Amino acid sequence: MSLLALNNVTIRFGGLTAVGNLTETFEQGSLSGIIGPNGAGKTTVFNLITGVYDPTEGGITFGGRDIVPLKPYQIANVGIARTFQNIRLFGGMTVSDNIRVAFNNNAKSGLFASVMQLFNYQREEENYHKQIDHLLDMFGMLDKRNEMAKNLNYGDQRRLEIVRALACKPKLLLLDEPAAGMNPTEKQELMKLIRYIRDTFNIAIILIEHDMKVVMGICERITVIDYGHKIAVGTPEEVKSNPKVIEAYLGEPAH
Amino acid sequence: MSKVARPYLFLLVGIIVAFGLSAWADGINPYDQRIVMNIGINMILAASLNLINGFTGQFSLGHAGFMSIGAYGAAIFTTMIAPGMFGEVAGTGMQDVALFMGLLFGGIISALIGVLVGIPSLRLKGDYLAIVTLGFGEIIRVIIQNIPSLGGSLGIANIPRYTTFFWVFFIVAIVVFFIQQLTKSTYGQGFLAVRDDEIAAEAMGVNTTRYKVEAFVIGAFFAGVAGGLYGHYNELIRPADFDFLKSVEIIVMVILGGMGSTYGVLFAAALLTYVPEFLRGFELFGVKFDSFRMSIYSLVLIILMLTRPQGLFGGIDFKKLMKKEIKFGNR
Repeated sequence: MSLLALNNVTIRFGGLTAVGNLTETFEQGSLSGIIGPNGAGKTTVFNLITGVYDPTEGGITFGGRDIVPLKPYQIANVGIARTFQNIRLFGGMTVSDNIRVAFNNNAKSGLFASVMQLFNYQREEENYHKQIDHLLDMFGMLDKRNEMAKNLNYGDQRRLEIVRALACKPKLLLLDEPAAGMNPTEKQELMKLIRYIRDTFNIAIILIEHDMKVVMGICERITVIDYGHKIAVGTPEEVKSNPKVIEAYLGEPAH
Repeated sequence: MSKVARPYLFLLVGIIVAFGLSAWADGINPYDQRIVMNIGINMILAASLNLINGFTGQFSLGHAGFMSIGAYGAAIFTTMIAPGMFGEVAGTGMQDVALFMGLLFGGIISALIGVLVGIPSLRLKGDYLAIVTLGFGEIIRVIIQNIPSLGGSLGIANIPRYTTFFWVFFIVAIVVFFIQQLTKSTYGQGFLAVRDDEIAAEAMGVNTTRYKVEAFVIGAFFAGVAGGLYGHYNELIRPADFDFLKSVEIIVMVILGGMGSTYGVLFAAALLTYVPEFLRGFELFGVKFDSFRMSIYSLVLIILMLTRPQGLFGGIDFKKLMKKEIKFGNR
């Protein structure tokens, strides 16, 4: 059974069909990409999966469970984490507190235990800090743990967003244009990082990306969307040579 | 020192300070006493509103409404319910029990109404939420004004004077302890996450609605307790005491102190309560400031906001500052 399945998903905003009849499945531990020209509806697909929008028609299942009626925070808790195209960190909080928010969901200490902060609470808290430090260490950000997120440089902000998403212990990670605004060296590092994440955490990753080098370089399977409709799917090689894809990006050939 | 003990030690220090303050303030003249008392009550109001406006980022303009609910609730308890339970308590040790139960009663009613108002209105954001909470505050005032058994616009008079300095500053210590512990905890990071980015918080699995309602309810509870303390000091409560201007006064304390900085807000509450009274008797080059003291008060606000828009203590991390000092010392 596939991990995530979109079944005839359609969403309309007024008269505009942003995503139409999209059917697609994503397997456990796979590394897939969604590409398409500007305004093709890629981010809308992410917003549909994470519950920001409810589909007008069609269903979405995650691990066999229907997630359409769930609220965004519930979807995050069943194991889908994401990053945003325009970075959305908690700017006024430190790097480690940004990650600490993720532990909030399965914390045993509720409101009053958190105010009293007795021994059980302290044990739990130490455990979180160990996990946070471990995560930050893996991504080489341990020395920045007490910095305000808004003061980080751009690359670190992108990285922190990914670390924060991983702290939610997802089974599926959605990356929305992770390479945006990066220079070629940073893009190379990002590609390594994404592979490393998939292999160490053994999770499925779907990324939206405009940079073809990145997408073609790491994705095993690519879905191409244009005007909200799937026009092609396959390995990078297959997609690259698909005439429909070339047409969507470059226009019809001259006769 | 163990990590568990440290915050409690701070709380203990707070309670000792409350004792000290009450020993000192009992000896000063009644005019100054009133100022000190108002400072304490405003500290509770401002610190509790700071949880809603500062830490959770929800702009509420109805704090005086919750204060009035608590004030009326507590007054009803001590004047109507308590005599039936304990008989005559004034002057005996039982008066503190009656006051405590009255404050709790008022606070809980205020918190319940906080749930009722919070759940529908916290779907709104920013300016819209401000308008709804403003409307709520006014509705409460008008409703109370039109209930004859609550004294209408004349209010309730002859409330026993049970509030002591110790009670007020003891509760200030409790509120500060509560909010500091909560906002430092992992659970409490949810409030800050909602403030910084609601969409990202939701995507991280934070139930933002629950956090917003919780902040609102906790804030309403402490505002209600502050109202109860106010009523049992003033001996008279009228709906007009809890109008829109009172809410604005509390908001100004929060903004001036620095959104999300508990100590900054406490300082601003003390400053803004004291300055208008201080200017009453202030004289410079033979000019009496009494007649235009409110203009100066406003001027101070304008200057402060122009020079420190983040508030007096906003954006200052005391822990980091202290650590820096120590580092310099070791060098």
